[in-house]
Amino acid sequence: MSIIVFTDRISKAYGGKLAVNQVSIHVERGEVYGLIGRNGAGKTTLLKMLANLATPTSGSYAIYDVNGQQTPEMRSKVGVLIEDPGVFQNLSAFQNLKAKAIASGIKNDQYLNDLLSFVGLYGVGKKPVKNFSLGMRQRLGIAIAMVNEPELLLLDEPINGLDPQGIAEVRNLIHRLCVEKHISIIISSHILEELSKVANRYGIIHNGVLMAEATKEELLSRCSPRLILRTSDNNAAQLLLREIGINDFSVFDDHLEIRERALEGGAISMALAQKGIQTLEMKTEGQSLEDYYFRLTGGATYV
Amino acid sequence: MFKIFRMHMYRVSRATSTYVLLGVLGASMFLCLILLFALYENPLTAALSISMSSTSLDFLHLSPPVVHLFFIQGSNTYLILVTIFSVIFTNCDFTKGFAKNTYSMFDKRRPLVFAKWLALVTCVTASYIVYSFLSLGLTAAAISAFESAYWTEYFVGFFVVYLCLISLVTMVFWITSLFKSPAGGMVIGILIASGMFATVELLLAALVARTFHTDFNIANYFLDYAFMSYNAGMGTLATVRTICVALAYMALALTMSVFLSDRKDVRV
Repeated sequence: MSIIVFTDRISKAYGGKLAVNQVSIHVERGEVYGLIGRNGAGKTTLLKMLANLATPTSGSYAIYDVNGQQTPEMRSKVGVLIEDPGVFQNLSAFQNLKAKAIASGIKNDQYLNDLLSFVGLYGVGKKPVKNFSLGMRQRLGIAIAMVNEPELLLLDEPINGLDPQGIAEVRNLIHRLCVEKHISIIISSHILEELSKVANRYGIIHNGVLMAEATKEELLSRCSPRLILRTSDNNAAQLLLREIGINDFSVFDDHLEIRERALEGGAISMALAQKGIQTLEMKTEGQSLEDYYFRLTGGATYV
Repeated sequence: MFKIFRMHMYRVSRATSTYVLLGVLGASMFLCLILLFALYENPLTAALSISMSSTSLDFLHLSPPVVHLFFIQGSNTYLILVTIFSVIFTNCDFTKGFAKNTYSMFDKRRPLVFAKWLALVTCVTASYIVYSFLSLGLTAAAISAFESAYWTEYFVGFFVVYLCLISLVTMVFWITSLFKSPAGGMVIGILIASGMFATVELLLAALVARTFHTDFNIANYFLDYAFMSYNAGMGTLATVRTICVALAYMALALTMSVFLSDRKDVRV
């Protein structure tokens, strides 16, 4: 997979205070990159810099085309929905799309109607956007971001303030964008649970600093249950585990940490007993994504 | 750049505020016409009411340059409406957040800002031409005192006032881009367009003249004063000076707006 976005120790300071502090992320083509962080963590500032709406104080970033080249034309292939959808309230959904289409040099009205259909707004007619629900506005914001046929979408808190149905609609839309249109997406949110349903790679940002970057599998692995085992002979226990087909475990000073078949503690205990190895302690530990996030960021009350 | 120009023309043609302002402008023109009718249908009133200094124009007779002066500069309504339009036009895509959709598509912002200014100038030019010729035509048709004379002065005045108007609009464009909210640009723009700053500038000129014992009138070099005090009968020197002042302010404001745009973060 080729990289579409790369940042190199990018920072942004406002009045001497660092909103983003030396963040280096890389996003691969076709993936949905979830940027997790509390309010004020620096997610929006990072996206604004990638969208060319804010200038980095230091560091750099690059957006690459399909050939891995950094070209000025690639900038025109970026769609943004940062904070609120940028729409003219008195214009209709179609007219808002048309304004962006003119700026993008797109003359095909049918394409705009198709976009409205794609986001489920085809039937709204000439209704001014000011009369739209929040969910409809968010979907229109995504449609506007897609007018210039982007290869990269930057979505900042697109589910913020939506009701459960609105959240589901936007989530499905993001999924379809990725699967049907093959668009790479960077999506930020402070709602961890929702982000975990759409993203396949994550960057955890806290106080402007990137705390961790992981794929969904890596993250799940870090959050999956583990069996903590302390025995009378840990070396013999290691050999036994391999004999019964368990290879994913780590050895610590006084215990083993087993990640594979971690919920089969009873069977493992029996096997150990049959070999004359005494089990001194056995417990299952696990953490949710939220626990993992709290542990990384030192706890929070509103993530 | 042309695509951005077209985008601005599209959005302005669909904005409700454009038509509201056009409606108010139409009403203003009608009121000016009634006032002109009242003045010039009674020569005695006209002699008492209309006094102009430093001009070779005959204000007792309703010629084209007098009509132009009356509708454009004499009526602050036109200038105030153009100022309001300019502020709304300049600020609208920022206050509504639409700017992020377009700004994120381009590496450089200068062509975007220039295209936006060009769209604003196009709209104001259209309103100026239509307003000027319509007011002239209606006056000629409705007021019997209208005299077809001084056409050279009329076209000179038409051109100079146009330059001043575009310069004023460019100043408003720049000032508006300095403030987060349209209120700042609106207040300063209206203070300029209503002539309040011109009064201050006149006082400043009097102070300078008194302090340095000179005939030099510094107020002539302030755009708004030069704009409002200019009329087509003032002679070549005043005309050239006004053109130079208008061009200088326009160049300054446009340069500041366009060339500094890359250095600022976009407000969204």
